[in-house]
Amino acid sequence: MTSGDGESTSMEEERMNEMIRQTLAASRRPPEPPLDAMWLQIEERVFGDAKPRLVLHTRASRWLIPTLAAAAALVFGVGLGWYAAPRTVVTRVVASPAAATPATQQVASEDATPSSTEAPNNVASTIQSRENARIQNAHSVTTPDSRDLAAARLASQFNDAGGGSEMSRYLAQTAVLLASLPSDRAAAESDTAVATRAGELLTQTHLLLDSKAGSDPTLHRLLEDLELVLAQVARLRGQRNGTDLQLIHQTLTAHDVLPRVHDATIEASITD
Amino acid sequence: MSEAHLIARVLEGDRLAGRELYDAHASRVYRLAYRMTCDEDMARECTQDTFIRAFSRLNGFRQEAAFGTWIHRIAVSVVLQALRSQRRRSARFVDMDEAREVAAGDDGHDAELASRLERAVDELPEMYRTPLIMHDLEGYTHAAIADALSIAEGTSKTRVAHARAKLRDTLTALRDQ
Repeated sequence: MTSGDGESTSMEEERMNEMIRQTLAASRRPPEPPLDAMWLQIEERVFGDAKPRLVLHTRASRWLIPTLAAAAALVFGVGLGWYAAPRTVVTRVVASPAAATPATQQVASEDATPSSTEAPNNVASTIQSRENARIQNAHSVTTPDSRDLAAARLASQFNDAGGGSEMSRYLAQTAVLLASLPSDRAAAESDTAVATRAGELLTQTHLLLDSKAGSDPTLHRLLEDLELVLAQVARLRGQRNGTDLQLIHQTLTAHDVLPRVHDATIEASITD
Repeated sequence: MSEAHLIARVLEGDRLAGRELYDAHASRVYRLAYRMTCDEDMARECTQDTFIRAFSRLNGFRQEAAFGTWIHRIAVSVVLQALRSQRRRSARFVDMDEAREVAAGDDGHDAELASRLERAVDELPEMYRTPLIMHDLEGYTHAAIADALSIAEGTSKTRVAHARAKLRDTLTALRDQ
């Protein structure tokens, strides 16, 4: 016998299929959808709301407070991360002898630190060194800002035909890093290597956010979440307290970061 | 008013048009989300996420497919993502077992049957479970499933048939006990 789907089945199988279907339909019967309550949330998120209405879910309220705490800590990390990122770009680009002019080499040598992620430890000196570089730049470089050129050059790598594979590589490397995050009890010495790598990936994240590849809304949101997490990881330098890693893991969980990276990696590899 | 017109109005920021589109599709999206998650809170969150994503991507909706098809594609993606990230399966088993016991009353056999079948469905790999639920419980056509899951229509049929065979094995094993 052939069912409506073209599936060959016996009478007995058909009877069993129907019994299974009825049993599952009864046990998985959906309740009445809370249409108005769901719409309030959607309306507020999509259209904004002059009179904010707080319709908190019991489940949402459970993780809201720790998430807000994590977000507050991560916002701080992002601020520091933004300080660090552009200097890494300049350092890398002028490292190529062919591309570097004496002027830009001078700027880079003034501005460069051993690692971009070390900058958060000394914000004051970072600002001072940036000011020095800016003054040097104003005197010695007459072409457009070399930082912008460097950033544009790197960003273009993500916008050309090979952007998909760059994105795949970036996502894969980020997934590996996040998966290898030390547990709370792990030795803090391993933090330095992880933090350095996170700083490098943070720079790539900034470039991707500004690139055409990052214009997709879903990808953009993921990159923003990764930016938060990587900025926090980049601050792990062997002097973390017990809550640092906990906050990172909470953020990873609350924002479903790893499954989303996984999905994005698959999508990026498909578009390669 | 046509859906194309509603979409144009939503893009202009008309929330009433948004509500109209929502009313046309929300119940079905919620039902699918609930069938796939067996969890009211998750179904609600997934439905909200689906519409938030859909409205925020409305600019990119080319109207080559119907809005309903498009939003169900988003819904399936949102639900699968939620299921993967929220490892609540064991909790759901407990909740559902309790719910079924209450619903079945004294009929222990029906409760056991439902419970075993539910477990069997949850234990199916995602690639088989989703088409089965969409087709057999929510009445989606194989064409719609194929579109939502980005697979061929024939693949959808094969997966549903495979899932049914697995569930029949469960049922047979239960009868033989």
